[in-house]
Amino acid sequence: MKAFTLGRYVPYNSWIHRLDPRLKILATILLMVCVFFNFPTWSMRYLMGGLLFAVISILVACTKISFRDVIGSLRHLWFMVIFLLIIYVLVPNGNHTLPEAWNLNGWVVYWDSFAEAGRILLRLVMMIELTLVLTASTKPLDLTYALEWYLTPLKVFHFPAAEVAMIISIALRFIPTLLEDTQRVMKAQSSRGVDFEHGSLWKRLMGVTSLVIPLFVSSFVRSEELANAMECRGYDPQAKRTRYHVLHFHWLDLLALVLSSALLAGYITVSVMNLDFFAMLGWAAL
Amino acid sequence: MPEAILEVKDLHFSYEAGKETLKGISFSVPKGSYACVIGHNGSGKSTLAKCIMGLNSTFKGDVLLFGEKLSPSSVYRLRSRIGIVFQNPDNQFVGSTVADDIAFGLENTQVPTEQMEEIIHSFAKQVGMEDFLEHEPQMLSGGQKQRVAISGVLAMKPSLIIFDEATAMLDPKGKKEIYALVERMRQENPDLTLLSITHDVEEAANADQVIVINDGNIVYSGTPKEVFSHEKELKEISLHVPFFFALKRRLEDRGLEIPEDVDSLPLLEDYLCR
Repeated sequence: MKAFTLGRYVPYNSWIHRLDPRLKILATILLMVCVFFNFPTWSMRYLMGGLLFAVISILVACTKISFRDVIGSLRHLWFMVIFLLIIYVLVPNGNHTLPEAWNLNGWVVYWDSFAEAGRILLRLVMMIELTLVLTASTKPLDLTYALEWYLTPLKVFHFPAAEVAMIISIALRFIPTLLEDTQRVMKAQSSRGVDFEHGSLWKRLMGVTSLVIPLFVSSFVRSEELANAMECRGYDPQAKRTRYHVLHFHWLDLLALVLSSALLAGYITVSVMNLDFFAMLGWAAL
Repeated sequence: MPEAILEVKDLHFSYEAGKETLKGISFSVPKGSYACVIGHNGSGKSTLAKCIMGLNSTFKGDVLLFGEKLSPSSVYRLRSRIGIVFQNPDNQFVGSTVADDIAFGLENTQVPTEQMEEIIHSFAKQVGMEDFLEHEPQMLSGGQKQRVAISGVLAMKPSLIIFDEATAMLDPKGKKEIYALVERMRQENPDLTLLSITHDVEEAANADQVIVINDGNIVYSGTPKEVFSHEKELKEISLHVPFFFALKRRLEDRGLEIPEDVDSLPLLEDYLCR
């Protein structure tokens, strides 16, 4: 629990790690939009989905996330698979293009249902992988800086972008400290006879109360001392501050931006123009 | 007499009406000196610290910093010239890494970005933390965190540094590190004024001036030698005497003559072995 960090940053010096966090957020959003395009036929849907999946898999490989972490992040998807299958098999499909899977006394199920469930699963997997690439390759603090940069235009409407970024970075900074506190209080309360793991739900809930209240008190004490310390070190939220970390936009960032935009443009074109590569090649498509 | 960096005149403070925590405290700390305020828990020394830092603003009496009166309008200006090291190492660590934490104060005083890297390196080096710049606070010991806090304070180039129980939460090793660092800071920068608020009397043994507070009043004030000659009286207000002074007194009680210039433990050791 001590090694807990938000989003599981993987310290490694890959080219994805070196990209500007602002660009990484934008590129992630661009690729996420790609995930959600629809195409005219099943072959096209799976071809384009598969292509995108290949691209994202390459990104995952470049980030050097361990295979176990990737599988771990997808662990809870099995529930989704069952849920999707049940929904799509039970709900009749209107405009089917694939043959019948079975016909039990009038209960007709087409292969479309399975194809649809599979497509949604693929989308989910791609979304999860994309966020994994972003959080594994970017320090939470860098994400905060990027977020601050994106919020800067809102200053016109008196939105306190710098303060919000400061709040987020302090929250991130204190996560491990508060986790340590939690463990200490838990041990202290356990030694006084509070049982967090056994007994009825009500009893365990009461146990948690004995954890939450001391934790609340200690975090308030901490926040007051922190506020004093920050004030004494000259922090004034309204005042102008210089920055230690300055984000730099390099040619590699530009390249990544161009490539991800090009990918999105390609997907938009194919989707909007209803292109069917299989028909163009004269193959019988599904 | 050199100019007084800090002057406290007849300071009164009460948290609740009719019950004074500070009952008229007056003392002054000259430039370049090292003063220690000692007192046991509940003596009012933390309240005094908060008054001097401008965190308790409803006091009666005067606090003069660099000859200027502390008031809500001057507090921000004056604070930029004093550095404060607090008790809890975790609660004053603002940045997410050592470098970020030292940078925090620099960012506040609008030091240009290009200069920061160099300043951070040199001040981290001064406290021996230059190899830990990318470390996160949970990877550091308490003593290391306090050293980072000190380097963050030093980077602001203050004229006065206040240690508010800065060693109270450290283990003996961490305490030693901080004492050695403070000693080195004084040697390297003779103009730096230090005020330490502590309940650790060993720390006070090295000070130029010791102020003993009990129940909101100054009981004794003077050089360590003067103050710690009142061993019995100090014991009554739950304070003991630093090891050196206690030992010296015991030896003198047994009829041993110890010269005036033997004024620290190593010197005493040399003298006895001679």
